Formats: sequence, C-alpha cells, structure tokens
Amino acid sequence: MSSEALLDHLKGLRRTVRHDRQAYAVPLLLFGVLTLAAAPLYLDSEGPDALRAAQQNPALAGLGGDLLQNSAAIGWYWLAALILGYLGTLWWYRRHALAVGVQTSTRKYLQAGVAGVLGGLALGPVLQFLAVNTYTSVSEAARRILFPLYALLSLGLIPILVITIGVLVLARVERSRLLALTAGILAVTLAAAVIYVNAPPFGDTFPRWGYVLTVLPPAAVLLTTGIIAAVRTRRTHT
Amino acid sequence: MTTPADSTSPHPTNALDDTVHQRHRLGILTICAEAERVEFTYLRDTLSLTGGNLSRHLAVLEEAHLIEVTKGHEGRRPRTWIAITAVGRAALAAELAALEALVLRHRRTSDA
Repeated sequence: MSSEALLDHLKGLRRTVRHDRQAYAVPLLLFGVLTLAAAPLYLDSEGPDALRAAQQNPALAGLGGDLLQNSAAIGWYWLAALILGYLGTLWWYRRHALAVGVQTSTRKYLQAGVAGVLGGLALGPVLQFLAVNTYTSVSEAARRILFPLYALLSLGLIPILVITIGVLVLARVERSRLLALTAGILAVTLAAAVIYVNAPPFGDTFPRWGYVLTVLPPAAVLLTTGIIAAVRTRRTHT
Repeated sequence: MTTPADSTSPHPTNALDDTVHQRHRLGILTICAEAERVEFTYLRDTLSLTGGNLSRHLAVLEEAHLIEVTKGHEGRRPRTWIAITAVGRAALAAELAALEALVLRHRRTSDA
C-alpha cells in the first residue's frame, strides 16, 4: 500500500470512528424537552416595566433571577433540570459506548456543566456586588458584557446559556458542525430574548405569555436539531 | 528538480517507526486516538482482523507503551478496552507527519 493510500485509509478509519461514537441526538432532545417543560413557569401577570420588590430567593434558586413572578420556582426547576440533563447525558454516552464499543471523552462536558451551574448560581451575587460597590469603576467594555448577562439572569435564562455552553463543548468533543451550528443559533435566540424584552412588540399591553416567548425558541432549536440528528443517525445505521 | 535543502534533508522514511508503521498497528492507533477508549471487538470488526491477530498487534503496542489495555466485566460480559497513551499519540503524530512528508516528496519528484 502506498503512503498516499495508507493516509486515505487512515482518514477513512477516523471518519468511521467519529461517526460511530456520535450520540448527541439524545442530549439535544433531552435538553429540548426540559426547556419546553420550563415554559409554563415563565407565564407572568406583569410585563418588564412593572416594578417589583426584590425577591429574597434562596441562593440555590439563583438560576431563576428575581424579575419574574415565578423566579424561585424557575431557579429550583433549572437547578434540578440541569443536573438531570447533564447526568442523563453522561449516562447516555456511557450506555452508547458499551453498545457500540467506542467511548467519547465526556470529561470536558462534565466540567462545563459543573462550572456552568456553579457559575450561574454565583452570577447573581457577583453582579449584585459589582452593581453596588464598583459601578462607577466598571469600564464601558465590561458593562457591555455584564449588561446582557444581567438581563439573562433577571429573565431566568442563564440555564439556557449553560446548555448552550454545554452544546458548544459537545460540538468540540464530537467534532460536529451541526452541534456547533446549534450552539450558535441558541446564542442568537438568547441575544434576541434580551432585545425583545427590552423593546417588546406589544407596546404597553405585555401579554401573560410574553416571557414564554424567550424560552420557546431555544426549546424549538434543541428539539429540531435533536430530531435532525436522530434521523441522520437512523438513516446511516440502516 | 530538487532544491539543495531537499537533497541535504534526511529522507522522510528515516522518521518512520517500525512499531507504528505496520498498517494494522497504525490503524489501531488511529482509531484509539479518535476516542477515549475502544473495545477489542470494535477494533477487530473495524479492522477486519481475527482476534488472535489483533491480540498480537496489541501486545506489540502495549510493550512499546503506546497503548493501555484494561480488562474488566460489564455485567457478566468480559470487556477489553484499549486506550492510547500520550507516548502513543506523539508516535502517531510523528508517523503521520513522516507519511505526509513522504507523499509530498514523491509528488515533487513526480512533477519535476
């Protein structure tokens, strides 16, 4: 076998292994369902302009922010859902490895999940500290980064940012363009949610389901790409 | 036409490692490099080898510290998992670089 043919043979082997170990349809569908199930919690009788007293939610419910009526419930839900989602994904990859015989390294994905949840919980107190103690010394550039984070935190959307980061890490681990694209679209839906809430198209009459519209697009993205991935896997295995 | 640098530089075949260069062993390392660990049966089926043949290649690679073999059970079923080591990754990268250099040299010679 010539060197060129040998290199082609090895390239083919790499492609086969990558294909065989890919198992990302299940995490996408799992997080899609978890995001969709969270939607009823985002029903709110008041719009973004309503003044509300600051809620003294427990620190562990911090992922829900404190702007919405059900912030505490959103926080508790997402804490449980993210742990369930990440552990479920790890279980699924292990099961897939045993079935196929090729194991994907999920260490970085686990690290991203743990860092995401802990970072999400710490974000509220950190931003609060910055706002109270160091507002004047925070540079314009830092404010540009912190404001969207603060908006996502207030809206209870930090968990979706954690999912997005997880998908991005999974894209790297799986070497999947579809996953990278999914992470990109999720980031766009989050940015759109911040813009939408700051300039809602309903004028003064913000509907009860107004905030639900911030959660449905990411859920739709996760479910759609999950279904695409599942169909692709099924097609190539038959 | 070869440049002076080409004629003085060592031939890429000098960089080929006999342990790694064997086609099946190169295949084993390539597959293992793409995953955290790979099961014996997966390697056997993907490389179309017999169990005995694969075991011999694995023994050579393990002897050279290029792979690690872990034997265990999943339920009642015995499983043998193979993982590439850092030395194995470096050896594979060097082998692929040498092969690519060889191809490049061959193309240049053909074009001249």
